[in-house]
Amino acid sequence: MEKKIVITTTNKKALALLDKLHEKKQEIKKQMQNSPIAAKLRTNKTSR
Amino acid sequence: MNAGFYPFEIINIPEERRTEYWFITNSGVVYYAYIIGAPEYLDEFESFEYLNKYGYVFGFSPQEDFEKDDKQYHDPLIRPTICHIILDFMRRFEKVVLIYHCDAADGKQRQRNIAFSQWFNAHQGIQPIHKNKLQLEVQLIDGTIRKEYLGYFASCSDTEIEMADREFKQFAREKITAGKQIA
Repeated sequence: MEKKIVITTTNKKALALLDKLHEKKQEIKKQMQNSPIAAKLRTNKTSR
Repeated sequence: MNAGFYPFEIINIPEERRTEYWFITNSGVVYYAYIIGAPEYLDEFESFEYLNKYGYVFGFSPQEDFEKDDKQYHDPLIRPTICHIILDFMRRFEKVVLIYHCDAADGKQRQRNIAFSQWFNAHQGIQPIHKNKLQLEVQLIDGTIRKEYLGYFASCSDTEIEMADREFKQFAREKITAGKQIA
């Protein structure tokens, strides 16, 4: 079963939450850019 | 390669309630997906008992940015790979709530939301999964609307799905609609 809630708001709190979620994604992206796994995957692919 | 999706590597970091999935496409683009405990991801979830205990936040991205009109962006194997990753994670638990956020950073939030819905519909026959989502439309001071989606997939008993729904609505009420208006 699928449910959906639609909220239309001009609330500052909503905007702050969306900004915080976006910042968290950017923080994770930075962490992932420094991960050695990507280099390993690329090396493995090249050597196949 | 497995038929229909890319093989992925899994990294578990239990002390952070974090799991990373990594895969590389035929054209050499590296993707990651992350699944992190809801309260570890966002402290706003801490006060919601069920989401705090069984909730995880899911996201995925290419490791490096590339042009969205690049044909690499439309690789048809990415979506089924993400589906397998979600299923791989959800199958580990008797009860789990997997939360996702489609943001407006690249203007593709609607398409991603549709992709999640299609995935949900395609997998209903494989594993009973419940879905709920918030469609958030925030009107900014200049009158423009920022439209984003916050949703979840839940695998648990019917009674517990009611608990998850109740907390999700409470989350919306407390963290989104309560408080001062922008204008």
